[in-house]
Amino acid sequence: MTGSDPSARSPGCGNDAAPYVLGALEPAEARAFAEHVQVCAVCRDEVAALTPVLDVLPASVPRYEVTSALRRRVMHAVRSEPKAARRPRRSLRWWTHDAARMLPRPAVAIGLAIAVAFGVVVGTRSAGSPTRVIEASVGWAQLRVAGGHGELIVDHLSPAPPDRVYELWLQRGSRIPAPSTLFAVTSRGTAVVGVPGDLSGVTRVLVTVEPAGGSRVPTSRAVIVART
Amino acid sequence: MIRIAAASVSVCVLRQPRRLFSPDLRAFADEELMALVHDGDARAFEVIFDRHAGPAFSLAYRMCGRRALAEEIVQEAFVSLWRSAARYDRTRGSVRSWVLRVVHNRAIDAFRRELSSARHDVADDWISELLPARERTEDEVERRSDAQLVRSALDGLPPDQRQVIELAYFGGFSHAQIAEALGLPAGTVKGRMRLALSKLRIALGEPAGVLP
Repeated sequence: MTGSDPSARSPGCGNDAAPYVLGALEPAEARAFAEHVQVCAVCRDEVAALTPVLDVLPASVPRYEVTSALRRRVMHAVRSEPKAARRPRRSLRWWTHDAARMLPRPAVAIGLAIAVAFGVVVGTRSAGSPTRVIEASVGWAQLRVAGGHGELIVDHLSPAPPDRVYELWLQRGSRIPAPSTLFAVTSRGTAVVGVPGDLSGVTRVLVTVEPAGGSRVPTSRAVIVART
Repeated sequence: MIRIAAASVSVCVLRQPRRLFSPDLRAFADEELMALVHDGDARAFEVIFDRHAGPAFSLAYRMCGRRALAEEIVQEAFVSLWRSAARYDRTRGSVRSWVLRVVHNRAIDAFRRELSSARHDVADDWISELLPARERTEDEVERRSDAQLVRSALDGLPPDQRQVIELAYFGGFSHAQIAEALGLPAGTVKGRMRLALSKLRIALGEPAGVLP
């Protein structure tokens, strides 16, 4: 994470945190701010501080009960859905086998190259030390893991297509990958992405190309697969 | 004949313990229910719905002012919650907060898809049919107390700051739309939002932290 890097701050740093948590930024602004938060500790702390206020604001509205008709409709829809426990396996199969056609061909090519590269993990560079570096054999990407936290460094990765964004996922065992963070690459195809949260129990770190704003489950084939 | 009789006996023996150990899911905490929902338990989800649909609908109705649209938002939100139960992370907040965030985001999405054009200009005469929630449990009484605290905090804001919070959070308007409507620079609107949230945070008992 480069959160302590002062160069990541801008003169207007912090101004967008409040409208961001209120949902009052325009979609493009929200995407840009979400990327900025990844590299700016000031804004990240401010978002973390303001978010709990948003959680209690709904308590101020007059309380009404839902109608029994709405309850029936929702539960009918729920019971018509496949059971949740079966979804991860089905989603993963679809995501890993069928969704590649959703990606532009260059992204697929790059993705396959990097996925293959990560599939041949060359191993732990400093076994036994607090920091582990797992890297691709061709050196296009690295996942640095230290103290349960990770940082993904990518290079030679094409910018995501218009209205698309790279999304990072954490997968624990065979469970469906959980969304982690969004990021973009520079014009030179580089990015340093801090992996939020604790990596304990995470078996794979994945990157997919998703619609702007991100997705709740992967909708395309992983372009980066790093086994921790 | 003998085999059929034996099978019937074994079925009876097996069914009795299942009835005895069938848990009352209403006694479960939200987080325990979410673990069951993750495993595809629709009954557990039904309890989650019963606990949180009222506040969810109330928020949606407050935002859009139309019963039909509010119900549509709540239905979409809960179905999406069922589909994405695995995404719930208790370390990021309560189930109630998670549900309400999803409803809020869905409402904003609906606004921006212009499903509710002129939503603020059309009165909803169904309001007289809305059923105010009853105080049924100690939890509800406590929530009413919390609600009073939040309302007092909002009422304590300067009118210009409260206005931007109302328009942004409950109205679903972007800062640019608010700036245009109020004839203010965007920076002023953002500044009022920040000041308002900072004051609310302090009024609601959070430490000042990194905020002025």
